[in-house]
Amino acid sequence: MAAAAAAAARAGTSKEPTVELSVVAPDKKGHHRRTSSLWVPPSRPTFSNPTPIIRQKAETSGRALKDLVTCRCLSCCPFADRTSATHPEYRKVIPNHKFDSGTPRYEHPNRTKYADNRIRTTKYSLLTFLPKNLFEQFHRFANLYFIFIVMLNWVPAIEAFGRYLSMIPITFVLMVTAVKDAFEDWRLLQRQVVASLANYSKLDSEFKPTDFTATIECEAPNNQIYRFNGNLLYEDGTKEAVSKNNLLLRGCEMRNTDFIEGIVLYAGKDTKAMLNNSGPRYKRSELERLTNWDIVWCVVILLVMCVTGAVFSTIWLNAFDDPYKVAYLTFVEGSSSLKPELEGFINFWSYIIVLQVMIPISLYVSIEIIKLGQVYFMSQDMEMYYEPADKRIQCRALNIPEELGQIQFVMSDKTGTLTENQMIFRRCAVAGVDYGASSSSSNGEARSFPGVSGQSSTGKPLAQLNRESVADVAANADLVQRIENLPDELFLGDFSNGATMTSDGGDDDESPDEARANASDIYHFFINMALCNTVVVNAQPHQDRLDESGFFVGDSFVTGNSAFHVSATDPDTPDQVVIVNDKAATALPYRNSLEAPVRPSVRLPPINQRRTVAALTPLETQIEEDLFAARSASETALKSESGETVSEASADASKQPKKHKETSFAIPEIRTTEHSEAEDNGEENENESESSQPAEASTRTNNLSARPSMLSLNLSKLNIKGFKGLSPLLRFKKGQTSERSESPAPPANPIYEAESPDELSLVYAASAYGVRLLKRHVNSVVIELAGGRRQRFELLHTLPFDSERKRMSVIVRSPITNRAVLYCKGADSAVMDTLSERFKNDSHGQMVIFKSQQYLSLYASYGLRTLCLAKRELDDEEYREWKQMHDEAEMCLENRERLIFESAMRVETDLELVGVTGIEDRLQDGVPECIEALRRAGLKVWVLTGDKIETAVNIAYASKLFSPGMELIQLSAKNEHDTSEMLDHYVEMLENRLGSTRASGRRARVPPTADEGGALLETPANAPAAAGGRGGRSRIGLVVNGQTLAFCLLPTVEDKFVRIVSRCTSVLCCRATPLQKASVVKLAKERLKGKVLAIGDGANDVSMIQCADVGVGISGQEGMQAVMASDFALARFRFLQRLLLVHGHWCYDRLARTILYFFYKNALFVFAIFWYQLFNGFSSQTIPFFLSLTLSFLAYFVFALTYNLFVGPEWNVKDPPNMVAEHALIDIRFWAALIISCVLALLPRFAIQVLLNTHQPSDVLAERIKKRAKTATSGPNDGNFVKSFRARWSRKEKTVRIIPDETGGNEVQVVEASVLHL
Amino acid sequence: MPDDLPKIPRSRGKKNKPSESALHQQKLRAYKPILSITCTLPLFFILGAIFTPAGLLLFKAAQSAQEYNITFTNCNATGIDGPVRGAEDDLQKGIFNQSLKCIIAFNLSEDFNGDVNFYYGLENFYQNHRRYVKSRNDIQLAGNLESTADCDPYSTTNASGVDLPYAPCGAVANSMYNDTFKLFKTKFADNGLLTELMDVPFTTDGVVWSIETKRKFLNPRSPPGQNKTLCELFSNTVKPPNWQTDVCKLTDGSSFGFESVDFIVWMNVAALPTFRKLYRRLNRTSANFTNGLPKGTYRLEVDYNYPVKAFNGQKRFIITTQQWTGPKNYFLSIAYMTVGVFLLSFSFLLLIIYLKQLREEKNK
Repeated sequence: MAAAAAAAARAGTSKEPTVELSVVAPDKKGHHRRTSSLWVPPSRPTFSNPTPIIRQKAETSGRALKDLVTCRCLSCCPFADRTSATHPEYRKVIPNHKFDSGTPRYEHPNRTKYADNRIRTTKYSLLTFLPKNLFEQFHRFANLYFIFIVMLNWVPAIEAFGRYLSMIPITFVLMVTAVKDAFEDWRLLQRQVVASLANYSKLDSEFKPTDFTATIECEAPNNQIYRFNGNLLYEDGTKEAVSKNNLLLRGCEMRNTDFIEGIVLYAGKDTKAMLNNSGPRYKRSELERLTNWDIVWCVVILLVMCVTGAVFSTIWLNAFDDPYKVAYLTFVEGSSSLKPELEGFINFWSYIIVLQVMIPISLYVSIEIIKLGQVYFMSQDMEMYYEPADKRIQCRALNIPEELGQIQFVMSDKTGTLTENQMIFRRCAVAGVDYGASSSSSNGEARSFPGVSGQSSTGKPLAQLNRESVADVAANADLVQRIENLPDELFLGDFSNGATMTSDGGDDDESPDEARANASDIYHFFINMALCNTVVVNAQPHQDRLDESGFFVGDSFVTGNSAFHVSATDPDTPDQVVIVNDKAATALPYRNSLEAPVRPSVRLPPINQRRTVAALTPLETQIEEDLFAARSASETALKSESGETVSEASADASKQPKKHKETSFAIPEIRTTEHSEAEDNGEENENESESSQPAEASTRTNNLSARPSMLSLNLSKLNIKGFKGLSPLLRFKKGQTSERSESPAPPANPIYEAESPDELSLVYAASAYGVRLLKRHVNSVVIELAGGRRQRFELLHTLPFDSERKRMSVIVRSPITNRAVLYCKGADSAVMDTLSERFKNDSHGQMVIFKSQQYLSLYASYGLRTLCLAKRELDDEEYREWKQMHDEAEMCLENRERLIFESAMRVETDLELVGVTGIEDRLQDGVPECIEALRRAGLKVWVLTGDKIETAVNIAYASKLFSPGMELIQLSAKNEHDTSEMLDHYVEMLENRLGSTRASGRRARVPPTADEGGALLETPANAPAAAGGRGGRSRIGLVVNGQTLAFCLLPTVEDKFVRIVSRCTSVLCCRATPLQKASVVKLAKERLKGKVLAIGDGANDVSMIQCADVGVGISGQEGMQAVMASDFALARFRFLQRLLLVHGHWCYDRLARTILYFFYKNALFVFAIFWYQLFNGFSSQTIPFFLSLTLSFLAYFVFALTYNLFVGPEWNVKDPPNMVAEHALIDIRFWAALIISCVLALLPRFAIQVLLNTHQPSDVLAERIKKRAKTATSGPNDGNFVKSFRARWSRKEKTVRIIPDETGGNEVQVVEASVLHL
Repeated sequence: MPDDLPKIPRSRGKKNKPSESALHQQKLRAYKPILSITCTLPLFFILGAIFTPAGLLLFKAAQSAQEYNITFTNCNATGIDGPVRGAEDDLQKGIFNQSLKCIIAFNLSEDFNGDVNFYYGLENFYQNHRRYVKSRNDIQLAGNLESTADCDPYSTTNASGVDLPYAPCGAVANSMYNDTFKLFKTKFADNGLLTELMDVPFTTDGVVWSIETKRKFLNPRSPPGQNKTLCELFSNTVKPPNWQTDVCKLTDGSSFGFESVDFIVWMNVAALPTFRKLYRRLNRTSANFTNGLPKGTYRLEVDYNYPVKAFNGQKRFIITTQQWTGPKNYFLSIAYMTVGVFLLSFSFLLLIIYLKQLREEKNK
């Protein structure tokens, strides 16, 4: 493609690019930033090696690219300029068309070193299958061990089992695996065949990539997903930086995008996705580690037995006076004379074969299979299935299910994990005046704050909860009125110059100055809400316009993103009113997180909006130099068509009256006429022609994009520099005729899609108050104010959110003052510190700050998430200076992130606080119950959140992390010394308390009391806490803020912190950064020696999830990153209870039993053989009939039926299995022996267990006995047995309880009464 | 504007919904006992109550099986009429010729009713030694004389410059037990003179499993058209070094060579160093022995050929009757009785503990 391959992607399907491509133009404005989130790793399959699936995905999805690249030689295949001395690690990508198509690979600069884009899906060919597959299988240790044994068996002197017989097991294993591999490969082949039936010959050839001649210099392939630096080198020597924002990674799904144009930088195995894919996650569980030790012991035992046997065989042979006369010794004087020592040595190897079973290699295979089964049943659990989202638990790590039963610490994120992450705007304080949601809202449902009652959020039925959405804002009537009455001066230019204004009459107390200040603040507050975000506005959910084989359905598509397509559409009317029918609604309101991957959904323009390509093409050809001319031409063209559109659009709208009725609060309908549209456009055009920035022209063209992509796919400068009037690559199905299109109308109910729910809630809230974000383009934002007034803000910069700054900003050029204004929103700590001195000293400012802070704590105490909104007006001079430095930072190849961060810090100063907001994030249903159950089961739940302390504490109470009777220790200090002293104090306090408890001589073993339902038995979580709890003192909860946490984690202080933390039942860390979360997890793992489970939903939880023993991702509102990093992905937090307390216990219990059984079984087998050596002269002979008998019963029914058919005289079977079986079956002695063996095998265990249970019954048993005693008192004693027996069968409840052990650790047991679950 | 937010359409269905079957939800009914007294006491008691009588029953059966055991390693111990010398010593010195017989007279004090089996027994003979067990070739035994793999050190021998296979090859065959037995019912007159010497009829029927004669042990077949004798068929082979007769002349009376029952019995190696092997069974079709062996005096004549001195072995001849539990063997019965008694006493112990607990509870 050299210049551009049009990659078509489908929404929500698996269509993904197979290559990683750079979007042609760098994103100068940084408008749709946060593209660290761009990457969606190829979803890892749940049950199998992902490679084939990735391959298959790549193969089915990337065909458009692949075929373009390979068939048409359009691709710039990767190429490294190895001679480049300055950047040895960089590579150059040069358009392919600069080279002769016949250039051999080794001479082609793009292909010398790096992979091309050819995709081979199958692993094997017919010829290579056997050797390659066997080779792969021999990589497994178990297989090698088996092979070694088999090979030993082929040494005649050592041979212990039959040569062929010993080959059966390994042959079977290899065969089964080979067949499985062959089948998988065959399926891939089938798909490949289907794919190559697809026809690509009908490609439109208007696309002329040869016009692109620039070279790209970029990093050599590496696996760092979040890093990409490169330069675009034009032929005239100018450079442009390309960053990760311009990079589309393989596996990305594109959203709201019909197609993209880009340059292939990495292909095939060089892609970052492939370089990062190192196969399925492999975690080692504790049980596995223990098992490995056991196996080491088994090896030791085996060696001891082998040596013993060998030594004794030597001794035994030495005892013969005349061995050559002994009939049963096979030694003959001369060639095969007896050498006892040599015999001993040979016997040693023979013993290795005979006793090989001691090392339970097959245990690994068995455990793998068992775990697969467990994981399968886990995913099948109805109680962990979330119906509204149709999500079941996703088990991504297959080998640690039993680890779930060993968890001691649960580290949970708050937002989105404990809460719904459905942000609802609740309150705001503008200029120090609080506006709450009015109770008379159209919603009609008075809500209480979650923190107050702790129940309101959880008590609601699910359906009701779902109906409330982020857009469900109860507008404050007063505020609405104020907005509607904003003074006109605001919109007429220099507002601050003291022009008199009319009071709105509602507030008589306000002085004119105050009122004006308030009005200004209200204006800026809502503009900030609507502007300062990365929300994407859509008229309707995006639809995929590609069919299965990669063709555009219909005959047109949105070309706004094309660098090569210079469309002449009116820039302000691309969004259309469409009917959102049920089918179109498949595209969900994707809300992507801050760091979330952008999930593309290619959008279909409504059918009645299609533009005729043919009609546009002539226009495009005109646009060579003068883009303005072209635009005006297109405007003319469109206006001529627009009449039709409006009527149709309104007709469509009328079909949906119900929808409007159901809207739970009133939004002023947009009443725009064609006339006002045109006027508006005209006005904007004027504005633009006045601002004569060079980029502006191309910006205008790019604004044609109907739905600006979040991927910043605008290709601004290239239109001028790199291309001369290119047309897009279009691919249509033959036979499709063009239809006349109609001009679009503005959206009546725009759909917002945002990266974070907070943003979305703010935008919807602003919308509810009449300040509507109408359109967002790369370089401009259109906002409609109350009364239909529209303002178009030129978007200058977006300074994206990062967790260090904890705020984001946009810099826009105000249409009124024509000055640059910075709007900033962020955490209070992040914004309050950056307020300007002038504002702080100003009386109005002081008042605003003071009141805002009051309201902030009030909101937080309600459990609301708070944000501060601020603004700063920049002088032209200031702005120019800053812009220059910022541009330099953006151009910088190295250290760019850092420089941009610093640049953002520079401009985010001297802010003026406008207002604060309170956003409610409802607790998920079942969270308090779940946390309580976990706590009762002895798990310690820690919540690590980025929220402020008051909010977090409130949520902690609501979620029963803290109970009312609990004593809270709050750690907060400003420096290390203070922290240390404070910790000392608490350590002393806690240990004194513990000491006194000990002194009282009461052990913390308290008889459990069954609660009413009998389901949960509460016992204290651990010894000290138990002592506290039962001794009348409350249990202890700990609250730490991020700053103090940083000090607490210092090596000097850590010890004390650990001592405190180990005595707390619940811990709450506020204002914690992702890295701190991870270090807390590490602390619990290493210092508290506990198994840690981390659960979270966002990208900021990834490091914590990866750090923990078990990582759980919540597949919720935020992106896929937490899920991708996790071992288990749940839909809701409450499923954790079942996952840990039921499945975790089952998995651990069953696996532990299995492993023990395995060792027991093997030991029985091996020791039986070993003792037999006493009777056969230590000759390493196996027990006769042993194998035969075992085999007989396995194979009896098969062999017995077919024996006569295929057993010929040449068959080397010493004892035909069916004969042995037949004789055994009719022999009473066999059965008698069988029965007594069973009894003897079980008897000791039963007897010991019974004695133990009687002498020292477990708490569970004690409880049972007690219960039975109760029933027994009501009836005669002799009926006990029958009764208890019956009771056992009828009881179904599960009992969760805790047995505190001596060390203070806990053992969690879930005991199922009558229902044994497999 | 909640209603404008697209919802998950119904048409997509709940494709991820798990199956609600009891299996998938792990709710299959099962019983997982907790081993408490109340649950195990009845179990132990019932088992004990079953095992103890079962053991007694087995014991009774074993007791009712009859067995007569003659050790004849050194013939002179029981000699009445035969050579009164240390037969084994002479055999080791090689001074016996083939016709040496050991004649033992004995008295059965009661009738051996029903099927009567005759065993020979060897003590301290490690037929289970790994190298010994391996030293055979089953393909040769099925008639393919050339096949001598695995027969080391008795696979082939160099006779006049040509390597000829041993038939049968291997250490197992080479060490074949070759004593032969004859049993007579004797009657003596009052003066002690032998008045009657009646042959006790032996049969090989039922000595080996039919599969062995049909499939595993087969003489080489004469090629079609040629009617070769067995010895001609074996002509290109050499008898094992320890053998006194050629393999084609080896016979149990009815079948020859590899198919001879004596050979087959020997080739089925014993699991323990002290073993007995079924030699013949009583032919109860004969008029005097339809009910088994009547009590009275008998004479056993042994062709004494097999040396056991080198490994401190013992040789025995055993006459047994068969019960439903097999021949006389007390092992199972003792095992059953032991376990049964243990179970019973353990359940009584548990009962005491349980009663004690109950009393304690009442006192509370």
